[in-house]
Amino acid sequence: MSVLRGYTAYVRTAVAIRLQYRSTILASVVVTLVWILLVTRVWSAAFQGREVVAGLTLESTVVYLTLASLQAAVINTPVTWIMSSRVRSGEVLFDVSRPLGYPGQMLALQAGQSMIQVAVMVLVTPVAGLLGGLSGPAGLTAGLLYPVALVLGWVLNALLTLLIGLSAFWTVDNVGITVLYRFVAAFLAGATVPLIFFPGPLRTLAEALPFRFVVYQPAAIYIGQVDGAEALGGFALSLAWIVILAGVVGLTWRRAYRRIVVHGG
Amino acid sequence: MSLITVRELTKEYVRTKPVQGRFGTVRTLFTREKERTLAVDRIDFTIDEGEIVGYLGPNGAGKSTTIKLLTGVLWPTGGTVEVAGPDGPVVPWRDRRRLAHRIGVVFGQRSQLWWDLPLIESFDLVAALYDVPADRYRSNLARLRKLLDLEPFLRTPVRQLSLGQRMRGDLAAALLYDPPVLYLDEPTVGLDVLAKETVRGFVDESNRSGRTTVLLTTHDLADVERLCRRILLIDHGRVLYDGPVDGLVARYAPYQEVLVRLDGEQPDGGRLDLGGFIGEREHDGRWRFRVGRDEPVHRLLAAAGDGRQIRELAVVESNLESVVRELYRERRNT
Amino acid sequence: MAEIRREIRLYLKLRRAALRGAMQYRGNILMMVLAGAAYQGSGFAFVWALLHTFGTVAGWGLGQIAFLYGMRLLSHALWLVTLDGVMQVDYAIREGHLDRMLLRPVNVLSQLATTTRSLLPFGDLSMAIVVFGVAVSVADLDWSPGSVAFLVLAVIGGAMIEGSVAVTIAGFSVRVLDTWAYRLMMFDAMDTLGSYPLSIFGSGMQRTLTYVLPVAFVAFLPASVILGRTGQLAVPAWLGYATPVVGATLFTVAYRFWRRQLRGYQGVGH
Repeated sequence: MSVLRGYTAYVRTAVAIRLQYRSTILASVVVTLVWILLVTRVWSAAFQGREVVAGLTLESTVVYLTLASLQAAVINTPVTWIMSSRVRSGEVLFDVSRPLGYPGQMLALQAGQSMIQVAVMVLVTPVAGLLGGLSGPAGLTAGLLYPVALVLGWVLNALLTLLIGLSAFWTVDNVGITVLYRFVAAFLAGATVPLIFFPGPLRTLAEALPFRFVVYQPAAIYIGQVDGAEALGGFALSLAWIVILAGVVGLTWRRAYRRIVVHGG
Repeated sequence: MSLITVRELTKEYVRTKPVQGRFGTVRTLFTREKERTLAVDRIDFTIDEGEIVGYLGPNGAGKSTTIKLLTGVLWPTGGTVEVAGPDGPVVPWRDRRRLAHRIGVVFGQRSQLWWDLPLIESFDLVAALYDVPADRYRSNLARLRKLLDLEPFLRTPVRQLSLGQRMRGDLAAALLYDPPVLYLDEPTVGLDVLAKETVRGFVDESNRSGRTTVLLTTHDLADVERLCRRILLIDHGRVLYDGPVDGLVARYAPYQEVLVRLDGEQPDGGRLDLGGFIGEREHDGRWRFRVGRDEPVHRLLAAAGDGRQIRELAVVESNLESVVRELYRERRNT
Repeated sequence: MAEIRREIRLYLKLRRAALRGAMQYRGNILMMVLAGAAYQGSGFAFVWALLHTFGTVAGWGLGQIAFLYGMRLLSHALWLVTLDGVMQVDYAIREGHLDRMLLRPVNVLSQLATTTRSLLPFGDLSMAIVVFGVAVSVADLDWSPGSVAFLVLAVIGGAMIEGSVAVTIAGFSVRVLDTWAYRLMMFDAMDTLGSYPLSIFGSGMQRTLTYVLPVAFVAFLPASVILGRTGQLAVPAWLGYATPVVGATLFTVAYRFWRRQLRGYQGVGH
């Protein structure tokens, strides 16, 4: 019970940190909105009067892109940066010496950060809808499955972020890999192009990787592109990825821990 | 002929009051609310060629602001500074470029060296930025290398240097282009005893043989005692004292202290009158007397020895440290 | 003239020193270059995937959009490779590095520009060369000495436009410290809007992006001229030739602004 209280304290701290950087929040909102404006216009221009392309109408594509852009904003968190700067300054030794596990602390940090991001994105959704386009979910099931898909996607992204952050224990500076992850993952997750539009081999690649569960799957469920058995199959697959990634994070952390204990940070 | 002339120098910081709250930064840009702080208040002094002046004052007294005005980093609110030179006087903030060749600046807290590169590369760069001719660079570097014993770490990246080595590197970089004036802002902060002595010895040597004029701010009064003949003491942006080191002691502590331990039974109470001198009892049982410099100590001693045994006697000269401590303490009380 | 030559020589010397410093962190070099390339590459991958399905967007084919995208990237990479230290101005002020720059007999902006040890710009540059190379081989273009010369001038002008935004924001930083979030926002918006045919927007938006936030001048307008696509512009076609002049003017204004703000510099701490 007290362990749980410890993690809650972490989440609260992360919320407080995030709220101190209000200008960053504002910036991320503006960036997301400009992106929504652009990407929906580009797609509208591409459709050019065609009703349905690859099984998608322009209207549902625009809804998909608006949602996907809002969801993808969560991929961009300062957690990897916080991890690397604490490794560089040596403060990581304090983190490690706390009674709560280090990966758990970082997940709590990520959770706190995301809570603010999600709240802000929910707040600007009406504006996003005006700039891009929004409508209700494709049906009752789609509406019910969407939040489930979002939560699974969040957990996956949190684990991936943690893994990227842990690279700081080997390379100290992880800006490069963070940026790489942010953009490659966002693209392969379907943040700008729904996966069904990907050219052949790229689509195979994107489907083999876990990123699509972070952005594509929830948004595609919402517009009814993915439903029923396919959606449930996706959930099973993303759960499998979560288990695998949790294992990888655990192993990586054990090696990282040994590294700082042996080398003294 | 004075080298640096400071007249009525004043700096008032006018800061736009940062707006807290939503979109604080954007609103700060447009707000009219101002915060004013008078950091330097009509300061006057001159420094002659070849002097080493200790610039003292408690934290927040205006030392750093003065250095920034003298080096042209900041524009003053009023008053003027002139630095004399062969091609006429320079007002620092009006002509930073001409000033640059006349001054070397060392900040103890932050290095001017290129962090990721070997030390020697920083010297190459400084020489290029200051247009030092190749042969002069070579001879200056050879001299500085020997004086500061730079050889062992000349090819080490600066980030791997110890604080003492880095400071030696910074001193060399500041004097590479032979500036007639050297500003040292806390050059010994954080250094160990040996490294401090190296820095002091080097400054002393540059002043003696190179005729470099030095203005030194420091919190380590041993620096001042070792190097300076003159002190400028400022507080609340005003000059409190400008004169020789011993003059400061004589003015603010015109007495010496005598500590006496008496044998046998001690007088009652916390005070003891001996020949007109009033002593106070210390916690270790000794009695502390203050005796003016022109007062006769022998009267105290005679009265103390009258019918008692003096077991221990110590005379404590007031020094710079005790005077400055006393002055800073008064400041906090006002 | 001798003074300008000296400044250029010293700028190059400082720039090389910064690069040598960056090379010390070998493990990170490849990652940074890759990241820079990925950042820009993922944007282009979007266009590519789109055109793979649709063939054209607002009448622009793959070769033409790649040309526009590549031109923008070249400008972007050019200003970053030369001036990206300007983005670190907050840090330089907070750490007192700006004080030191003011003490040296060298242009402050050129010192600031060379304080970075980031290699991301070289990722941008490599991606720019790749995309532009592909575009030139795919797009059917009639090259004449005149159009090549205009292309070079337009790329430089575009770099100056983006650079002038950075220098202006750096000027504000001298007064108000915490500007980095706004800087990121500005550049993200320019990255987003600068690389695509702005004819996807209505005429109002096109005019805004020409006259208010001069994004259109960076690549869209000059690329329209070179590709002979000025027919669908919502602004006068001759503006397409104005990029070099607009760039030089904006940069001069931004530089003046920066100099004035520097006079009012108050340092940090007292």
